[in-house]
Amino acid sequence: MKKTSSNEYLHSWYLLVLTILSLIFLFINQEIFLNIFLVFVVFCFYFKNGLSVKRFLYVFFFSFSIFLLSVIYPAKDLRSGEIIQFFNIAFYRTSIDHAATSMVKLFLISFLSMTSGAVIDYTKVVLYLIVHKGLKLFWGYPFLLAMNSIALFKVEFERIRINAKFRNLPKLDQFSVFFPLLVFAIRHSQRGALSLVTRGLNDQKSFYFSYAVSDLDKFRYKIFLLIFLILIGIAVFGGKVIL
Amino acid sequence: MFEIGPFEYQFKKNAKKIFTNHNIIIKEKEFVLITGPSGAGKSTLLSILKGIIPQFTSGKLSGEIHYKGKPLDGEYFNQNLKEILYLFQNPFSQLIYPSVPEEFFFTMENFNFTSEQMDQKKEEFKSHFDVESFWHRKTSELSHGECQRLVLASLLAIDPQVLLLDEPTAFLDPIARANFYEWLKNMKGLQTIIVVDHHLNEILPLADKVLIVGLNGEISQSSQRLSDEQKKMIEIVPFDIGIPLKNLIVPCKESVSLELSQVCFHYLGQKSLLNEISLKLTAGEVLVIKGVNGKGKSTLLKIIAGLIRPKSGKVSVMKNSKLIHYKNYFKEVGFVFQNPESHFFYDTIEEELKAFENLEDFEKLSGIFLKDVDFLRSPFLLSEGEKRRLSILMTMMMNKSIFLFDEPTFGQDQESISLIREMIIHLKAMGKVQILISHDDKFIESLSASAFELVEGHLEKVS
Repeated sequence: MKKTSSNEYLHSWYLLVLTILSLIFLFINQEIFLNIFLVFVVFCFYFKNGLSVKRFLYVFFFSFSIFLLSVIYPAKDLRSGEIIQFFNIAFYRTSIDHAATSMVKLFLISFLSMTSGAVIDYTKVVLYLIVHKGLKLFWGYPFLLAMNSIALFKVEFERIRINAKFRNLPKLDQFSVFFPLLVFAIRHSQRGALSLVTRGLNDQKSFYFSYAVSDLDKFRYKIFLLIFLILIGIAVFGGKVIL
Repeated sequence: MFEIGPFEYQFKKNAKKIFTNHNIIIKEKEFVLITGPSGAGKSTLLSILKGIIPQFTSGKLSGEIHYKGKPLDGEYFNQNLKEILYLFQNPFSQLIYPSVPEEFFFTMENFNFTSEQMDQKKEEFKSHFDVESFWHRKTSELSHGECQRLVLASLLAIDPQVLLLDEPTAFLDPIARANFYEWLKNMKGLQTIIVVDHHLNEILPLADKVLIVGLNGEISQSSQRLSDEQKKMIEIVPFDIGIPLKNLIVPCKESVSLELSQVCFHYLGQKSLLNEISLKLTAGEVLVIKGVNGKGKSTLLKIIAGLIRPKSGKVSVMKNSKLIHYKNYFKEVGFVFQNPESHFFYDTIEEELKAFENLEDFEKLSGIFLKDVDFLRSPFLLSEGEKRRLSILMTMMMNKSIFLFDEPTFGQDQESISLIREMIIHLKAMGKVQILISHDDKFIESLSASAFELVEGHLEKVS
C-alpha cells in the first residue's frame, strides 16, 4: 500500500479542475449573485485546503483600490445623474454603482487567480498526471524542475539585488541585475537536467507516494460538480450567459 | 575498474586543458583522493569519469578512458547509471522536489526500489546523516550543508558501486564532517570511492591512491605519501603577497563600531533561531562564528548587514560616534555570500574589476587571486573556488568599514586559504571590522581571532 504525500482536504488535481471550471463560469455568466455563490463554494474548498485569511484580504484590498480609483476618477460617461456628498467630496451615484459592480467582478476573478497558486500543490498535480494519467516523464519532470526553481530564483534575485546595492553599481548598470539572473536560470536548468539524467530518471521508475485521488476526494468533487451544474442550469434558464 | 589512458580534454580552443601522459588504473573498491589547486580541473575529471563529458558537454576529449573495459559514454552511459553515482559540488543544483521526503526517495524510485526497501533505507539514513532534523522542511529552506546531506543520502541509498564525490564536506560543520569521514572509513573497501576534497589532513589517511591535478591541468598519480612540495598544500603558512596593500585597501579613518544588543529572530511560523545575541566589535576586530548547519549563522550576518530586521533587540553601527540608519548599512558593509555567482554582473572578469583598473597593483593582486586565468573570460565560467576568490577580492577592495564573510574558504586549496588569511590580516591592520562564518578550524586558529559558536540561538565563546 503506497503512502499519500500530503493530507489535503481535496486533491490538488481536483482543486485545479474546479478552479478552471469556475473561472470559465465567471467569464461567461453575467448574473453576479450566482458568481458570488460559486466563488464562495470554491473559497470553502480553498479554506479547508489551508488558504490563509491574509491572502483573502490581499485580494480584497487590491479590488477595493480599483473601486476607489473608479469612484474618484470616473469615466466621462459616468459623470452624470445624482451627486452624493461624502466628507465634502462630490461623487456621482452612477460611478459608485459601476465601480461597485466592477469591484465585485474583479474580486471574484482575482480571488481565484491569486489564491489558487497558494492552495494547489502543482508538484502533486504533475506527479498525479505522470503516475495516473500517462503524462510522459520527460515532459513532467523538466516542468517540475522549472516550477520548483521559482523559489530558488526568488532567493537568487534577492541576493543579486542586494549585491548590486553593496557594490554601488552605476545607475545604468543597475539593469544588469537581470544578466546574472539569466545566467543563473540557464545554468540551473542545465544542472537540473544533468541531475535528472545522472540520478537515473527513466520510464520504468517506481513511486514511493501514490499521488492518487481518494474516494473522499471523488465524493467532495462530485458535490462541487453538482453545485456547479445547478448554477449552470440557473444561469442558462435565467438567460444571463454570454456565448 | 577504471583504466585512464593518456588523454586530453579541452572545453574549447585556447581554454585550459586537462590531460595525462600516463596510464592510471583505479582498482575495484579502491579509495582515490583527487586533489590539487582550485581551478585546476578536478571537477572536470569527475565529470569525465561519470561520462557526462563528452556525452552532455561540448569540448574535445581525445584518448581512452574505460570503465570495466568499456567506454563511459554513448550506450554505456545508461548502463552505468546505477553503478556510478556523482555528487555535484553545488548540491542545490541537484534538487528536483520541493519536499525533503520526495527528494530523498527520488534516486531509489528511479531504480525501481519497492516501498518496503525504501522504508528500510529511510530508517537507515534518517539518523545517519541527521536527515531527520529537516525531514519536514521545504528543500528551498535548507542550508547548503543540509542540502548536501540530503542529496548524498539520496544517492547512497541505492548502494552504488562507484561514488564520485565533489567536495562532499565543503559545507558541513565540523561534527557533520567528522561523522562523514567516519562513515567514509567504514565504507572503504566496500565501494570504489573517488573524492575531491581539500581537507587533506582528514582524508589523506583514508586514501589508497592520490591523483594530483596540477595548475597546468596535468594529472599525476601519487601514493598515499605526498612529497614535501605537495605537503605544502596542506599547511596554512604565511603568504607573501608581494604587493604593498596599503595602496589598495583604504584604511578606516573614522572610528567604526558594531553593536548587537539582545537580538532575537525567528522566521514566520518557525521556532526561535537567534536568542538575545549581544556583542560589540570595534575597529580592527575580527570575529569568527562557528556552529552546526542550519542554526542561523547566515541569518545573523544578514541581520548585521541590515538585510533583515531582528524581531527584538537592536543592531547599531556607529561611525565617529554617529549612529547610522540600518537602511544605509550597505554603504558601510561588504558582504561575501555563500553563493559567489550572485556577485557578478558583467560579461568578463575584466569588466567586473574595471572599478579598480587604474591601479596597477590591483591588477597584480588579481593575478595572484586568479592564477593563469584569462581576464577576458566570463566570471561565470570559473571554477567554484575561483568564483569564490573573485567575489572575496572584489568585496575586500570596496571602501567599506565592516566586512562579513560567509564561508570564505569553501572550495579553496591551502595556498588560496593562506592568501585569504593574509588579506584578512591586512584588513584588520587597516581598522576594518570583520565577521566570518567558517567551519575550517585550522583557518580559524590561524587567524588568532575571537571565535564564537552559535548554540541553540546563543553565541558561546570558544576557547
